[in-house]
Amino acid sequence: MALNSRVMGSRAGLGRVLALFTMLWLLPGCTALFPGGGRFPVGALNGAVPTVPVRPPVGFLFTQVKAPLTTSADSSVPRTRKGQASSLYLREPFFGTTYGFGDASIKTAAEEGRIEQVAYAEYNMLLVLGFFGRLDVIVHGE
Amino acid sequence: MKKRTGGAVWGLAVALLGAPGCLQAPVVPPQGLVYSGTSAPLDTDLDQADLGAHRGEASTHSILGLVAWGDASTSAAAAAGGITDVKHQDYHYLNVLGVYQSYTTIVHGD
Repeated sequence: MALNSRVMGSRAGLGRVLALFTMLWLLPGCTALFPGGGRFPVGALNGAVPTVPVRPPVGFLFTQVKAPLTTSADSSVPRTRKGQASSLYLREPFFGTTYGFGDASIKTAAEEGRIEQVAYAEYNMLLVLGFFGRLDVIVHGE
Repeated sequence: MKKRTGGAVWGLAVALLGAPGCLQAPVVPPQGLVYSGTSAPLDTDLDQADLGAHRGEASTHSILGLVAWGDASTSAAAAAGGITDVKHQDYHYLNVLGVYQSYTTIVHGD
């Protein structure tokens, strides 16, 4: 009984040490921990998070952030108009198959806003639990 | 049984949930494990020496890597600073133990 409880205790202790270690590794650092540069062991978010030049921290459960897409703005172009184009990502929950579609190109966004000269672009990222993702490219110009 | 698996379950929960997507930017200074508060350039194409007279900021926030929200777009930062002519962009990143993270776009212009 005493031996059994000691084994149980050490297992729980090991779990806590493991948890603390994982926490230290996962929380503040930015090291890629899984193949493909992913940081999420379940792989649920890996495909859903868009690749962009500037990406603020995302949330595992829910993310909606807007950030710059172009880091330098052409100040000679006034931003009188705005156009948007979107792409979608879906992961069905039963087999985990994923689907990505849509045209989020600058050209499409510019055409949507009847923009001929682009001053700068930004994006809006929406992620829900790795099952739904949307990337809106927003173009400003005239 | 419940007690036996408690530690492992806790470890797994932390491993699965406590994994925030971290900052990604063209220039990222070295980040501290416990605390980071760094500013760095977003725009590295410095063809104009004039930064302009005004400055505007816009931020996003993230709690525990679970939820993230906010508008740190160029237009939001420009609007906050009353800027119509964007000349340069920097950013500020704050991380306190991974519990709270914020990203701020800083726009300079007139």
